[in-house]
Amino acid sequence: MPPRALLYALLLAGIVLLAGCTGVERAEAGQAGEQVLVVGGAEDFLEGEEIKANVFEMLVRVNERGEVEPFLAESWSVSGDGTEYTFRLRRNVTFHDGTPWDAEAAKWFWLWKKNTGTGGFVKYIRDAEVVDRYTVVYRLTEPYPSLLKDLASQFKAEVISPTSVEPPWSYTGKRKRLIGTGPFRVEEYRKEQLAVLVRYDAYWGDRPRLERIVYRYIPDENTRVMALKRGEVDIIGATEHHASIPFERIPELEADPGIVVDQHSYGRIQVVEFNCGRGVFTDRRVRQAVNHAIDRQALVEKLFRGYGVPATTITSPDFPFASSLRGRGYEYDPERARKLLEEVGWVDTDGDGVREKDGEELVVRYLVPIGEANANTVAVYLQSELKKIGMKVEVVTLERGAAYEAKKRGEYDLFLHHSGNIPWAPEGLLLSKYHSSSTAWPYACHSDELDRLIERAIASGDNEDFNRVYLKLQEENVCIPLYDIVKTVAYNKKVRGYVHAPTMYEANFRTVYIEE
Amino acid sequence: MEYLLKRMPSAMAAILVASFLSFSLLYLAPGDAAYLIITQKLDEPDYAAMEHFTRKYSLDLPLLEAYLLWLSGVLHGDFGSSLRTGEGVLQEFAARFPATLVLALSAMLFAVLLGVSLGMLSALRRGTLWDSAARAIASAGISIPEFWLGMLLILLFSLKLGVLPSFGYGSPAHLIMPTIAIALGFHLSARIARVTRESMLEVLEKNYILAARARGYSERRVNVIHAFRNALIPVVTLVGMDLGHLLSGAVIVESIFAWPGVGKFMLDSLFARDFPVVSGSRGS
Repeated sequence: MPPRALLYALLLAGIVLLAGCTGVERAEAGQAGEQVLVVGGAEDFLEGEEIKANVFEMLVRVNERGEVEPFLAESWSVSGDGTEYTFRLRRNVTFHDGTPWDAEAAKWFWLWKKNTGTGGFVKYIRDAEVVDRYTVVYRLTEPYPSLLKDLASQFKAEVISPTSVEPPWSYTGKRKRLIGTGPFRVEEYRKEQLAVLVRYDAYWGDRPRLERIVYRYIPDENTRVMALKRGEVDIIGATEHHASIPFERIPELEADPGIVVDQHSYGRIQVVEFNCGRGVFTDRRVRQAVNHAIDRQALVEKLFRGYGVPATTITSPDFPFASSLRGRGYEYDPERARKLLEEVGWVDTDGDGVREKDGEELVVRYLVPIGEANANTVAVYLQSELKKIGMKVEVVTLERGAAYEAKKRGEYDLFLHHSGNIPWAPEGLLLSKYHSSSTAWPYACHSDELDRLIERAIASGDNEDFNRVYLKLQEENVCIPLYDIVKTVAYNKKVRGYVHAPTMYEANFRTVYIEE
Repeated sequence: MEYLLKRMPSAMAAILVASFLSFSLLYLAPGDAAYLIITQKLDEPDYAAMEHFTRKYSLDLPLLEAYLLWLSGVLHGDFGSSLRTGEGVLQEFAARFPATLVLALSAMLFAVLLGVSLGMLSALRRGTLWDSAARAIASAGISIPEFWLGMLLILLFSLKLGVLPSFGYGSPAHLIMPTIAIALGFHLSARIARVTRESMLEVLEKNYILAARARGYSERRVNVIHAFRNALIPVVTLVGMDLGHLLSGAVIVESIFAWPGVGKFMLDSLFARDFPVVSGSRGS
């Protein structure tokens, strides 16, 4: 390149640089002594759900046991046929632009959802009626027992202002602005960079001590860890419901005197689903053998250096809907596992360490979707444990889309997944996985008896009925529970008052404050 | 002009074929956009939502019909909306392109300065320790993966020395590490150095260099004006081609440094089977 051309290139680069560099620092800079929390998150602000809990609220919410509680609605009643829900709304609530939250706004929200929404309850929406300023009736086309749970979901039903769509108050309007009722309002949002949330002083509830939350988007998990260590962000791991801090980096964070590691169980268990519709695992005894063959205590100790809790039940018995599972966990008993396999006819006749039956070897295909936490190490561990009882495991790792297709076609024996957690479990999980109408899991364990139990539990909503379902699933050995995927949050020592939210789908900073 | 007119039809045909290929590859790949996009928001599938999504975006159309629908949109200047974000594909790209452009130019500038200097050094001091050292650096540059380099840079400049921000976009300081990571990690400077060296050595053998020397020009003038300018021709070609590559984004470096460019957006779109985005970028 001739020197002159190089000069031009330099100039051009300089110009573009200047144009591209607008003051990020300005957006973040707080005054001295201002209460500012800088959050490092794995998703862009609009793509992530958890962080939005600080800006948007729902009609109702669930507590840590999955029970529905009042939020923007103070109370509600359901008509006898289950198609009419009357909500009495909380008073003195305003959206961030001053629009009052009242029956008109609630009616608009319901009908806007009907026209533009995609959540589970949307297709049952019939109409709404304003009874008085703070009472609204939502009508359904047919009874939908999960309505309140859906309305408690940030993803499905966060309440937005009728003025945030274009044109305002239109039932078909496109969402253009970020206006909610939460303790923080969105002051600035830059796609795939940051969002600046500022305390909303007219908030109806307790005033948070934080004045500002700066949410920084950092897609790489290791960069997030380093940004925390360097003090560029104050907290990581809070705004993702999956385990977003690599387990292997936890010891290093714990050793740092300036950092607090805070773990919390949401009862979400890493499980491996069996293919009960095809192959060797159609026989319950073979599934049971596998569940007896895995030493979960050793798994947690060897792979995670003790972080994480071994799990022997298919969901956490701490949930009131699955408390019947307490004391019913699968025991580590490789001798029993071998006996069970022999009972079915799997015997190692040629002495190569792999059992055979009718001339076929006991080889199973273990499908792992890319991106599951700790998936590779767990796969190797399973391989070695099952080898000890004469079962050969072939691990197949697929990109998520391809894994999903293979799952639907039943091209697996084992599939890495998780047990679900509130508010999605129990109803959503049972219907979409263990009911025979499931389209995502056509090869999970299904039976007429299970269908009946699930239908009855969902219709009654009674924990006793759900407990019967879970007990049956546990007896059927529908999956291999491995360990509790604890949510891990790490933050700077100056961050005080962090409380784990009732569900893993929200990152709540209402109680947080900074103490230098 | 005539040349351009002659080339137009074949270029159009190439674009059409390429757009059809990228559209159909993604359309036929296993995986369902509705499932992938909805479970990305909330990791549990919501079947009602998936059904709605499928209908809304006509995802159930047969391939050819879907492609023609998309193509007619494109011909009318409408590249469609991203299935994942709901925003217009063109706007999505326009929003991210400046970041990618800044990084690509800066990385290229750095790579050229470094690569050409190394290449010149090693050609002019051929066979000396300088040459070996420059070549060793170039070979090392070819074998370092960018994700590893990126992590090392953060460890060194952000954690140990504490002089640079470990991620982000906005100030010139944010640009330094991604620039180095791409220039070295993408093997740009290493390749430029090698091509410069070879080309210089070749040019220095030419008769006009001998002639220039015979005229008594200084060694400096011969090397810079006569040899260097001519030796740069293959380097410029290489830089042009690499720049094109860089403008389509640098996925890994963008992820590591949270750089809001097009590369990571493309990858996320690809994993979500967001075919309007992926086809639009190739076809446009």
